[in-house]
Amino acid sequence: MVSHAFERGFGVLEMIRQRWVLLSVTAWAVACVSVFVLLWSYANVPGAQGMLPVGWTAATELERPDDRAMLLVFAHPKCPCTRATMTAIERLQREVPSSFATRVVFYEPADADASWRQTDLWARANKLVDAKAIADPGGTMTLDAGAVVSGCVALFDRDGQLRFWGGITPSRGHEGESVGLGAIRSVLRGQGAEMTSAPVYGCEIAGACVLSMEVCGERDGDASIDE
Amino acid sequence: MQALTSKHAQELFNEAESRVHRRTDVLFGVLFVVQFFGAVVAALTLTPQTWAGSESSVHIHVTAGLLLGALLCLMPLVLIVFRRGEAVTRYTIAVAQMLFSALLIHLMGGRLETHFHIFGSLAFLAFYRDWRVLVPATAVIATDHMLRGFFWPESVFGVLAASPWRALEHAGWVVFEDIFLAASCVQSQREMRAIAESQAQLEDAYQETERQVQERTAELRAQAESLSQSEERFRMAVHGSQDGIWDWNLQTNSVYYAPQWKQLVGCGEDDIGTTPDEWFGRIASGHLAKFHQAITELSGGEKELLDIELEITHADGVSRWMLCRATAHQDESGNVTRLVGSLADISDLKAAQERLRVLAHHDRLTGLPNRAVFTERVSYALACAKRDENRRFAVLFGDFDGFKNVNDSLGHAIGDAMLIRAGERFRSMLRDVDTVARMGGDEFALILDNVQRPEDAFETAERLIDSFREPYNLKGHEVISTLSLGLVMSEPKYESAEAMLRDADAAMYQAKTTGKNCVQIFDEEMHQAAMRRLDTERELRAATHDFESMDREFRLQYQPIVELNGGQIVGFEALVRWDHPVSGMVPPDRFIPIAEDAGMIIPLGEWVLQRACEQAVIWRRSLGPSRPFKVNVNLSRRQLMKPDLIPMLERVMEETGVHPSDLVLELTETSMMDERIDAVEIMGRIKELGIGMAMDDFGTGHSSLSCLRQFPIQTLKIDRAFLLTITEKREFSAVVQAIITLAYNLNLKVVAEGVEDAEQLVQLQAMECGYAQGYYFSRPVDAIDATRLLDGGLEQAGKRAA
Repeated sequence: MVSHAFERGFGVLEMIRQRWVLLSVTAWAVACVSVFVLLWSYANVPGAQGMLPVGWTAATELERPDDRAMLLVFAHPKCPCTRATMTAIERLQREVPSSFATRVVFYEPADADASWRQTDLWARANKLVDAKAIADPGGTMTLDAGAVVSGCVALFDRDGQLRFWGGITPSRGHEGESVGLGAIRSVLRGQGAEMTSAPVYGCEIAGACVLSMEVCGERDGDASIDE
Repeated sequence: MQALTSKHAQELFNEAESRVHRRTDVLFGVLFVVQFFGAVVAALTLTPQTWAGSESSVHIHVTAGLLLGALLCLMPLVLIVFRRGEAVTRYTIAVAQMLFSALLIHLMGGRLETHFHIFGSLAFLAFYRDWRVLVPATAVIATDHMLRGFFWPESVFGVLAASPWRALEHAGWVVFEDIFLAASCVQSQREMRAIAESQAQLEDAYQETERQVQERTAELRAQAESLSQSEERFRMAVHGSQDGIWDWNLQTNSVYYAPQWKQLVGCGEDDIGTTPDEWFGRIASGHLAKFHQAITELSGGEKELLDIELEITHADGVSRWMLCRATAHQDESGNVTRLVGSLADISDLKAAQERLRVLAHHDRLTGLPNRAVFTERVSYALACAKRDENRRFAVLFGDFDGFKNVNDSLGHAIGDAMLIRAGERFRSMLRDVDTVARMGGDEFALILDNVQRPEDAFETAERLIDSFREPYNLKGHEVISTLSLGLVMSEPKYESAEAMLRDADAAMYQAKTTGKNCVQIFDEEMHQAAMRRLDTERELRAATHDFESMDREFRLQYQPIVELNGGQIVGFEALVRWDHPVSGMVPPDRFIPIAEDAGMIIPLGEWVLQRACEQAVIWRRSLGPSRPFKVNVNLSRRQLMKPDLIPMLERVMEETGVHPSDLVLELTETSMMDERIDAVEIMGRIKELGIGMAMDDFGTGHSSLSCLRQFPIQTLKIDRAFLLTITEKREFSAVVQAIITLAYNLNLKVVAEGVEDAEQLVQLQAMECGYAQGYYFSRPVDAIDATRLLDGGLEQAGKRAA
């Protein structure tokens, strides 16, 4: 069969004889691959990771459970990339059930209408087990926590110690196994003692607010937890 | 995979494969369009925008879905439109489809379920039934995973470091499907090949069958055409032939009679049915049994051909002779089923054959049996005589005396009439048991059967001779031609008819020589004479073989011709003599007639002319050119009949150098009067050569004196018979005088032959005859003596003349 295929030359020889066809196909393939590389590059460029200020957890008014860890998620309610983060959290809840509570802080503009809370992410967040979705009008809490990119996750152990900071998706908007997901799984299973972090892939949460610290600062005291 | 057994099968397979490829190309074209819209919808649905706080922008997935999706569709669609069914199209589609899977997976956020698009695409590619298409598709997936695993391992393996085992697992599943699909393709191709093989065999068989059908059809058409032509030819032959074709079907016992057949028996087209009796009823009763027998033998296979002559009664009641020919036709088992033949009217042929038979056995003029029949009857009589010693018969051989004169003087018509009457007279004089036959010319032969004594035969012969003394009245002419008969009686010594005829002929010859108009009974002396004549003829033939032999055996003698007025020799007549080596000098009357009859006179005459001319040249030299002198040479009738006479004369004159005026050719009166010779024309040509001519033996023939005017002769030689009588009877002297006077009136010289005494000479001189020759002047002498006569004897001859 193979020999017969080689006898027929896969049609390559014919293609070579038709030089312009070969050149056209080659150029086309190169163009396709190039675009793919650009696409993949975009998907794999992490956003600004930020850093949770020390002692931030205590300062917050979030209700942290005493008997289990808490997974704090900063999300943009309309970021399509964050769906992968939700999927990753659902996966964690299946893999390490009852080991952590989840709090999802959804940014919303100061003048946001109701549509900002009627997104699929809000719906999925509300469906999560042992979870609370918290609106963050103007992004005060988010900015205080230092989260810049939607999908940024902070894991606090039962002692309130920050054990993970970063993203839990392999790339922008892509589901699947990732470094951050693995690290959280380890913490929740009581493995590892070091705090770890991972790049975050997603939309910018605060957007222009990040560039206007004053405006953002004016809204620091407005952060609250939506029960 | 084994190659196909035939080129045709390979072509069919390629055709089917191409059809699958082209169809699948179109299917993928549709799929690409659907996928394009799917990608766009997915991008718009799942990731329409990307956000930065409250500000949004179009997500790059939408752009990617539109642009990259369009780019991925572009080349396959172009190739599907322009290069559908080609390998480059399939491979490009395979690559594009895999890249589309990558795009969709990307746009769908890497969902695990979306990865099934890859497997679905590979399965879709298997629609091509070409496992080779899976190779570039798998290569694209492998490259994608290798590149991403290398640069972004977490996107593939979910960890920051590459995991070869997981890569192997991924590859394993793809290879698993590839093997599955490739096996499916191979199986499918094998079935396609089998189908192509079967179809090729079917088509080949169909084409072979079609070809055979066409060939057979063409062959049958050609056969039909040939048969049609053959039938047309046969029809034309049947209609055009004089023969009547018939075809007898023995199985149905019906006979086809062609129109010509019906015409031959005098019937119309509708007058004859198809039964054999229509034919048999017309066959003469005497031939019916013979015909039945022949038909039975032919239909029974005993004979292959029928060839029989029948007498068939024509519709007009007259019997006609018909030739019936036929062949038998057998079927495959060898049974004769048909008899096919023809009928031809041979009545005319039969009549002609009968005429020929009569002509072959009878003389056309007299209706009497001819020589062949007569010889046969003599043979039969001889055979009877041998069986019965008491039976004797006589053979008579007759010849009419002077019949030639009748022919010459009264013409052949009278001569023929006389022969017819003679035949009738013979028949009226003989018994029925006797036979009379015409042997040729004026010769008749008779068989007198049951004649015991020679006297009885002699008596019958005498009666015949007497009866022929009676004149015939032929067209107003009283003609008498007496009969000379030779008689021979049958003897035990005769072994053949030819011997008896020979002896009868010899007896008749004897009757002729002993006075004619008589009967001579054959005796041994006659036989001896005949044998001597035969010997003479044989020896003469040998002697005249060539000039050398003639120089040995023949001598020329010259008899002077004397001018009576002055006694001068004015010429010689050359006379040939045979100096036989055994018998000595043979007289001319013993060999000249034989030489004439046997044809030896031709070479002998030429020899005489040659030697006489040579001698004439010698004499002319000695006499000088002024003296009148000529040498006369006799020219026989046979020489005169020779077509090359003139060339022969020219050649002799050229060879000898004789002057033509010194030569005179003597022709007998009977030669000139022979109707077979155009003597006037020949003599005219001789005269043109300058040679003189003389009529020899004038008075012995039957020419009238007025005929002399038409012949270009200068000299008339009066036969010696007149000279013998001029001194005895007065009336003969008057005849000679008349001849001489007439000759002078015609400006001819006159030579009197046979002058033997002075009295004759005196009379001739008194008649003012110009020239004479004879023993009175000199016997014929040889050239030496003749020369002596010219020199010394001239005076003596002159004295005698004076």
